[in-house]
Amino acid sequence: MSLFSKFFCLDKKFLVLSLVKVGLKLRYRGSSLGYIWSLLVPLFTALTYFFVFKIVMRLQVPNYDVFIIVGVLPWAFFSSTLADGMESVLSKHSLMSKVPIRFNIFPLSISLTHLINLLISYLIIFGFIFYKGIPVTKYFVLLPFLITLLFLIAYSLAVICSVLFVYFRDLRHVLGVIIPVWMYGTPILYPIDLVPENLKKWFVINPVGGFFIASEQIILKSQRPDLSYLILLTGWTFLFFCLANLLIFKFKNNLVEDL
Amino acid sequence: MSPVISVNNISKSFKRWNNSPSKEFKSVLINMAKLKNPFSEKPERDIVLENISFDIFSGEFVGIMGRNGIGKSTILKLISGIYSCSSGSIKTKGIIAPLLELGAGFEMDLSGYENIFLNASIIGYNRSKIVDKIDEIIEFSGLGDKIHRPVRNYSSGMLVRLGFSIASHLDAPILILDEVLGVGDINFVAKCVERVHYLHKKGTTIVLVSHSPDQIKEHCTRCIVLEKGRVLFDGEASQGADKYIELMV
Repeated sequence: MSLFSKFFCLDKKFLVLSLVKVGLKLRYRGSSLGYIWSLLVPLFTALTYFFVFKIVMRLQVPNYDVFIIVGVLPWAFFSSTLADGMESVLSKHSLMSKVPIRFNIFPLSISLTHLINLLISYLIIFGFIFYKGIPVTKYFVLLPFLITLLFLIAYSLAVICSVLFVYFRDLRHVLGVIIPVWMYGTPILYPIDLVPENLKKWFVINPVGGFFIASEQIILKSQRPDLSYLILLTGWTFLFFCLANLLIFKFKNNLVEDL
Repeated sequence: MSPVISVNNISKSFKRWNNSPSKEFKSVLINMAKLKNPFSEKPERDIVLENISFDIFSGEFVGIMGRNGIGKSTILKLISGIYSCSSGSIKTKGIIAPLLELGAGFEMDLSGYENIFLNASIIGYNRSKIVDKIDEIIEFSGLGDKIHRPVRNYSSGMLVRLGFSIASHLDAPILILDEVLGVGDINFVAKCVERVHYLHKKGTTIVLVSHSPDQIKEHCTRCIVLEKGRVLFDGEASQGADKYIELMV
């Protein structure tokens, strides 16, 4: 079986589908608003940021409301995929030790569940875009490409974290520190242009920075995204993709016994 | 005829976890501070199975016997593909329906009905096959309306009913049962035994772990007795069961 079909569990499509359905079903079982919560939470987060930075601190950025939404919703996808993906393998240990199942199917189904949320989030983003009369340019066709890369990077990192979490339970707390720091280090709440020139070079090493900068350039500035950011994002994605595959290969046999 | 399960000179050892497995960054950091490679200390390993070989052919009904902790369940997990061998190889042909433990493969918050789909898709069947069989499965389990309640609220007897019904109704060519026939009330056990007989007659290969010599004598065509990580006996069922009784006294 090819590496590619192993990575995406293509031989177990129906099982992945079942797990995604189970994930969506269980997450909101018993709550009256159900699925809507997965959109409400990031929207309210975005509203809070808008209040703090636009109304209180009066940040001078045009269309700041759209800017916030364009950044916060994909970030919500990214961070929750990481956090939930990390726990996914360990929390399914009762399944893994009783039926033959490849471990990366759990981070995969988590990532896909969150991807569905992300795609619906983009409907909201487009609602904002039309409402504010922001022009839709030909560069918008690059958005699916960007989302694909963000998904790949999130899924790969989820695989990596899920393996590490089996051996290092501290990872939950480490990630609890890293994710907020990472978020503030990513141009989500402020445009990259506001960053002082001497600090800008550090933003280049942010693995997901390219996604948010390119999104801003496409949606808010109606311009062609810098090729350098796209190349950078692709490079990081490839690196994490390779790392994740390495771990899948290395731990495919003995992870079950170490749970 | 080539075997459906071919176990070729396998050994299996497990990591020994001394009281607290060092599942923290702390211990790695401390080792690094001591200038030791934090991953150089390989944990000791306990050997459970050593140089085991046997072939199981299509249509056989094999019983596996031996003391507690001798590695019977480990063998079943190796055959099912959950564990991998430390050395040697296992080859299998066709879909294996394993029923290894209570509630194996169930998502506790889902209903029994939803779990049938999940469990069957884990074993490797797709939606249409499950839809074909679902009425039969529910009927056999005797759970009635309770099939729509969350599995969390099931008793252990009900879990076995559901688990056995799923594993035994999907027409998998190989069925693996780990001491599951002992749970459940006598009516259901009788029903299971009848079902297993029926599947055996239809040509399903069955591997069963049991501690009951009577059960082995009655049902199996062959018995494998394990002792000290090796195959002590492999042959005719009633002889194997006697060997097991000898071992116990």
